[in-house]
Amino acid sequence: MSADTGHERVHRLLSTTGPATPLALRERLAAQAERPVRRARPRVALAGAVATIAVAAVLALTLVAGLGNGPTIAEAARPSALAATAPAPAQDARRPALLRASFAGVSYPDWNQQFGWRTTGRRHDSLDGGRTAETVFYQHTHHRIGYTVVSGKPLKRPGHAQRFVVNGLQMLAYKDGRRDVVTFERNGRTCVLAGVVHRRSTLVKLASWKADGAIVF
Amino acid sequence: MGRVTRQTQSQRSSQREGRLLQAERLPDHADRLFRAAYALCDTSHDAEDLVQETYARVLRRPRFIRRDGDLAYLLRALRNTWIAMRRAKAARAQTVELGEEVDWIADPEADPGATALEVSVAYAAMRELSDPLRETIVAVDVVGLSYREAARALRIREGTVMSRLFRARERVAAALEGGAS
Repeated sequence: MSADTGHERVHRLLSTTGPATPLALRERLAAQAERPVRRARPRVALAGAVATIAVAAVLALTLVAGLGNGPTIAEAARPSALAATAPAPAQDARRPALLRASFAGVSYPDWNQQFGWRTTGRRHDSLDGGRTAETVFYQHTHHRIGYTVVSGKPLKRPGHAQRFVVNGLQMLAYKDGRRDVVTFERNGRTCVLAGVVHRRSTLVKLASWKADGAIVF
Repeated sequence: MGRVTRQTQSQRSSQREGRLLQAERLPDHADRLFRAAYALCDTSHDAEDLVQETYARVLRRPRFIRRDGDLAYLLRALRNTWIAMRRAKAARAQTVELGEEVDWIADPEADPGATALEVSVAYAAMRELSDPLRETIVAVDVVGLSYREAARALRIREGTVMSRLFRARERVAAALEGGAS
């Protein structure tokens, strides 16, 4: 094949064929584009705006310092590295995909049958900002992970995490030392799955398992 | 070889005058940008993130476009965002292994002989190219910019576009010969 024919083939192939844009992305972009774009403010107002922002920032910092911050995802992931303080919850006989354990309206999944992760215990913790968290521990071979549900409104998302959408569930994942941390929301609560595993995809797979709709998100 | 898209007189005159980028028309370019992002990134997850972040940055404030077409402007924004995201990712130094599956689609005017295997080989070959070669073939062949638009978007000379494009196509063509023949 001559160079020109080969180049023409590359051009034709790349200009007419390619990966399909995921539907979820298309929807997100359409939603982004529908939001009104902020109009530029007149420059004369700039100095006043800067002053107002500075005052507001000082006030906000004072308030935050006074009230105390809510826990971060990293703090919410900490209990999963600690020891269990209560026995492991058993499988819910009527709903086999779930355990007989729930916290803040979120039921814990039973991964034993499907993935071989058995429960080994649970613990309850108090976090910053008057929040509480319940952690259920799971084990598979020598790997141990914790599934923590945090009470109250969803926590601030970590800025340095990588985003995944699997099985329709949006997740953020990052590495904390040797531990992998995956966070997502269920029923308006922050859930954190953390532990030392071979692959982060294991946590992503477990978190996004919906058991054909039996696990409510 | 690639073709330089001829611009009409009215297009040239409107580009000189300048105009606001229309936010509501941005989703129309999603397919081209996602393909470009997929050619630049390692995974479809990264490509999705890149496109979404690019749109978020572009939509942060009104954009006044003087010379470029929408697509050329968006490609430049995508490239800048890609560079920024890659720097941030390198600082995090993380490894993610997830099953990577994408659906391949063809435009109505696509070569009916082209197979999904060929396209995946071509995209894999593009990822093996150096950044300058990859950016150029993405701008011209994937996004469909003219040499002039690609030169502006990438801030290089038109002659450089042509020479880089030649080398990039040469390597992708060789991969196709070896991988999908």
